[in-house]
Amino acid sequence: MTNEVLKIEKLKKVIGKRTIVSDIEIELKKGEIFGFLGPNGAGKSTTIKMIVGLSKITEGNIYVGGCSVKEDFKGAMRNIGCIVENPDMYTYMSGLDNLKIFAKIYEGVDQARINEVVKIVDLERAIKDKVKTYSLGMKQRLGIAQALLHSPKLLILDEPTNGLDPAGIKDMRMLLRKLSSETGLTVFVSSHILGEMQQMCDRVGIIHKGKIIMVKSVEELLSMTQDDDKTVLILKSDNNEKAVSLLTSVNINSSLLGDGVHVETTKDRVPEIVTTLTSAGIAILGMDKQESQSLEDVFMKLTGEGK
Amino acid sequence: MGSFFTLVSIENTKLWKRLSTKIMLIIMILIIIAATGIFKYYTVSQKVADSILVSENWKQELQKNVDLQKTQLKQAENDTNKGSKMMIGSIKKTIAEGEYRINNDIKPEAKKSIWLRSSEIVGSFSQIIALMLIIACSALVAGEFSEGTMKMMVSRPYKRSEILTAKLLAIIIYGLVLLVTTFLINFIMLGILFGFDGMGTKEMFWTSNSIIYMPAALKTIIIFGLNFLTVLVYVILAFAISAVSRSRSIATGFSLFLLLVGSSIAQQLAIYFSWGKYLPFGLSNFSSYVTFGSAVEGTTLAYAIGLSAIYSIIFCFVGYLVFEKRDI
Repeated sequence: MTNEVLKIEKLKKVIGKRTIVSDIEIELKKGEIFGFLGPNGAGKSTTIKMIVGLSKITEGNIYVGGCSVKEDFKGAMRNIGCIVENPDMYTYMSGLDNLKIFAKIYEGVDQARINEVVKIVDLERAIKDKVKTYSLGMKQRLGIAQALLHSPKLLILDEPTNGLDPAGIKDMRMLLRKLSSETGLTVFVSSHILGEMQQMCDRVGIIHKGKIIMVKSVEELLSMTQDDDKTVLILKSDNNEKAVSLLTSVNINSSLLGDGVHVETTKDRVPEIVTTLTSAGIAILGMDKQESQSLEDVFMKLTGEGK
Repeated sequence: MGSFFTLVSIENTKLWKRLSTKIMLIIMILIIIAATGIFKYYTVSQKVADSILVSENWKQELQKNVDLQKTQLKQAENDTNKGSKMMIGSIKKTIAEGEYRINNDIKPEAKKSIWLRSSEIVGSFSQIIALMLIIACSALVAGEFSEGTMKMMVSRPYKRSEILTAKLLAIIIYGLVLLVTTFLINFIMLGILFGFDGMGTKEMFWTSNSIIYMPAALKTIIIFGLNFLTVLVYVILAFAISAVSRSRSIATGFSLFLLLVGSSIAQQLAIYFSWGKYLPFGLSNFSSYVTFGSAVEGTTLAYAIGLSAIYSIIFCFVGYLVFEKRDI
């Protein structure tokens, strides 16, 4: 068997007459953080559910740490720790009781390991409280704690940043980075927000309408979005109204919005904009590039839609 | 197999960590104490005699009664009205008991033994146990779907059937805890209120076609056991509906409806129509075969248990099949 931690082969899922996903091929190496990107309904959750055995595989196969989910389900599941959809725990129990329950399932997970995991996710203070008193961020961390208990080879997180505040997202990112670099944990994260994935992942796979349309490293992906000629600049000046009318007169699309003048342009025309404005006596106070790295934009390009 | 028992203990922990599980046990205890207390209050305030006078010539009196019952039996058997046929089982039981007493020279007991007393109200207690187990069952199976925690269980190194079986076992264990608690509290309360009389007496046990003379303690335990089997029929139904529908309210509501209303409808159908005795739930009151006699012509205790077992297996099979195949 190969040394891929996760290997998905020609995966297909059909429900009724509808094909949810097809021809999914993904291979993950040890210690890598893989981002699984796609808009809602693209088939992310379905794929993840098939990996962890919640959905039956229609065609193809999945290997986790060399064990086939179809033929050696128990072996495959021993290699996986996961949170699917929401971090649903037994809310009428304390966090610690939840962990104790899941610890029983695996051999060799003792109290010391539980304490260690609680420390990793930084939940020591609240671990004896009932889960129903937890915030979403705490539940998310408890979810990660239960997924890590048995030191799995592969950690699967389905939309882990959903509902988290920016600080929570940052914590999560740091935690995953730390885990993969220190323990060689392989992480499979799904999301529909590209920005989050950029900072977290080594490689990204994009799924659209049930098919993988691209698997690339984050650097490659970023260069794709930046190569694009068209940009939107947010311009601030001492006379925004005048700037808009001036730019419109030289055939540059611009409009006045709350945070400044939005100028649609290409890179080579930027110097022209600056000279036009300064020569008219308008002082430019600032010029920012609008972040256009939304997943939607990448999709537009990759799928050729919307143009 | 070791890991399977771990799974049962996990399900057991989950069940007992629920507040409702403990509350239901406490409610059960309170109901038994209240019921036995009210029963005592009734017998005292209404001056109900707790012993009967057995005359010297009891044999002749009993023989007279047996003869009377025999003519009634003939009438009932020749009657075209199906409604009167439901008494046949009971009459047969009375005749057999009377004849057994006369033939073996067993004098009717002047006072009810503690065993007989404690087996008398178990029927209503077992309905309460059934109700509580149905609630527990829907929480442990359907509840885990609605709470989303079923995902957490299925993505583990266990077969789905193992997970489901562990849940069923945890519920049965809870049922046994409720049953044993009921038995003990009921026994102790009745003993305190009415006296621990006749601990070592023997009683007649009606098997639907013959009499076995056995220790009263054993008979009472068998009656408790039969009541528990009745409870299991409904629990397995609730379990299967939970696994199929994934809805707590459907599982609880439907099973309770069948327990409280459906069973009497099915029993009426079994009495009045010949095909009725093949329906589920109509014959599932097993202990009545022993205490009352067969209410449905041509059925025995063994038949009733066998029929319910077949239906339970079918329900279980459907529940497992759907749970095994479904996407969660």
